[in-house]
Formats: sequence, structure tokens, C-alpha cells
Amino acid sequence: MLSVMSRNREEPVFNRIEEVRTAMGLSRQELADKVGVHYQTIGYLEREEYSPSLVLALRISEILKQEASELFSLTPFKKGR
Amino acid sequence: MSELQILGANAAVLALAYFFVYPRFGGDDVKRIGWLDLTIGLTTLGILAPFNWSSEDEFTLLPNWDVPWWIFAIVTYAVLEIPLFAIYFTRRGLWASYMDGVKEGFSSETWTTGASTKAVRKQLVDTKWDWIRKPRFMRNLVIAANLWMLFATIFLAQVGDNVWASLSILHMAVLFIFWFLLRTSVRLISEAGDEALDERMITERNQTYFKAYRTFTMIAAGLLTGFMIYVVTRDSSPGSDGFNYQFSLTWPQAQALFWFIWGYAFMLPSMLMAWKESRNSR
Repeated sequence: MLSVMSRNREEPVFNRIEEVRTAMGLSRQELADKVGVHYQTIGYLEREEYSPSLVLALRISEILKQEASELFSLTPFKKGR
Repeated sequence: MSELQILGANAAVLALAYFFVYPRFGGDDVKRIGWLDLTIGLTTLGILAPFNWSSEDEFTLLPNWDVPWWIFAIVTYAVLEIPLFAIYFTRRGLWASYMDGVKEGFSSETWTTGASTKAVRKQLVDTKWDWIRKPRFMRNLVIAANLWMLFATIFLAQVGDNVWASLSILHMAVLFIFWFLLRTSVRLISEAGDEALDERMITERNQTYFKAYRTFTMIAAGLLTGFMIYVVTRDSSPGSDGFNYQFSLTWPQAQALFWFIWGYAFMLPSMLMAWKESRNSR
């Protein structure tokens, strides 16, 4: 059976954006300005209600000085990582 | 009503607009003054309508040129407004801003996307209208817009040739207000082009348009099915030749049909986006 990948809420991309962002002392607005998106979009990403494109994921990783694989995952991150 | 009474009503409304409403609520914001102007103009027409609706009187606009009341009201309103408008804009130094607005209004971007990049970017950082972006308000706004649309359409379809038919003007004004509030509640995202949005917003807008198109198709299918049922049932009525059909619509019925289709065509994307955001309750 063919399964179709879709970017919806049922298949979230888990991330550590909020954890890393706050550790770096950045507000949502500041990160949004650096990445070039609206601050609400950062909120959607952090709540895992929106799965970013590859370009956006790489851009966020670069700004947060993380490898993309350390910041994004298809499985939930363990707490306290 | 006489010519003098309509002129007096127009002059009174314009004095109120230019000496109180625009300075108080419009200030130096050309776009806001434009919206206020349109709203006040329509309201004036709505106030005059019940007094003149069934009247056959002709009004002398120029020597040997008599026109119906509404043409007289609109033309004299515009003529009386020109000097007030010129003085207001000159005193406040708003001409450059006005010309920018005119250029923006006629730009191909505004016509192809519904909202210019400049307008969307302004809305994206706006906090002034946050009170209408609260989930409960958005949900109630969508419900109210739909209820109004249904109520007004049914009312205008039923109303006879009497003073109540003038409510079609009120219907137009109320729809205009709903359209404005709905698109503002979603920060114009539902009408914006790609260049004004980030990737999440583009995705949301695209999903909204997909749903809006399907919903609008269902509305159109409902109307057309009703039309076909009417046509088919007419075949069996006495005097029908089964080939030719005649329809008659009153002015309020034509208004109801026109604004029902246009209202949903313009408001559905914003309605669906506002509804979705209200349910996200963030």
C-alpha cells in the first residue's frame, strides 16, 4: 500500500527550538527576525503544530548553532537532553 | 423629500464627518479616512432611502436634468465633499500619502491578490486590532456573518415593494463591515500574495483556499440545484411548453442574490481561516 507523506498535525516534526532559543536568551520575535518569518510561526513550530520546510529547518539550525538532527526529529526528544 | 432636504442632510453628515469623525477617528491615516468615508456615505444613503424609496419624485440635478433620489443624493454628496476633502488633506499635508494610496489601489498586485504586500506587512505587526483576534470574538464574528447573510437574504427575497426594501442598502453596508473585520482578524493572510507571507502562512492560505473553493462550489451547487428543480417543476405546471421559462425578480431579490454570491466569494477564505484560528485557541 502506498503511504503518502503529509505535513500535518498527525505527523509532527518534534524539535528543541524553544529549549535552545531560551538558552541562548533569544525571544521569539528576535529568532523570527533572524530567520525571516513571523513571530507566530516560531510559536507554531515550538508547539509542533507546524512542520517546517527543509530550508527553514536548516536556517533555524544555523542560527541556533545546532546540527539539524539535534534540533529536529521524527520521534519525541527525551526530556532534559 | 425635496432637493433642499437631501442637500441639508448631506451637508449635515459631511460637517459631522469632517469636523468630528475624521479628525477624531481618521487623523492622518488616509486609508482609514477612506474606509470611514465609504461607511458614512453608505450610511447617509441608508438614512435617506426609507424617506424616498417608494417615491416617484424626480430631483433636479441641473436645469432640465431630473434624476431619481439616489443619483441626486450621491452626486450632491460628492460635490459637497470635494472642497471639504481638499481643505482637510491640504491642512494636514496628506496629498502625497493619498497619491500613494491611489497608486496602490490601482496596482496589479492589489487586484490579483486582494491585499498589497505593504498592507499585509503592516497588518502582521499590528496590535491595534488584537481585540478582534481573540478566539471567541473570531468564532462569534464568523457565526454572526453567516447568520446575517442568511437573515438578510431571506428577508430581501420576501420583502415587497415597500419601505423595507431600502434595507438592501443596509445589507450592503453590513456585509462590507463583516468583510473588513474578517480579513483584519486574520491579518489579511487570506488575501495576500506569496511575497508578503512566510512559508507557514502560505501553507495556511493555500489550505484555506482549497476549503473555500470546495465550500463555494457546494453553495453554488445548492443554488443551481434549486434553480434546476424550479425549472423542472415548471414543466408540469399549466401553460408550460416545456421549453421556454420566464423569471421575474424584484429589486430586493436581485440584491439578495447578488450580495449572497459576492459576499461568500469575498468572505469565505477569511471566514474559514478565522474559524480555524478560533478553534486553535492559542
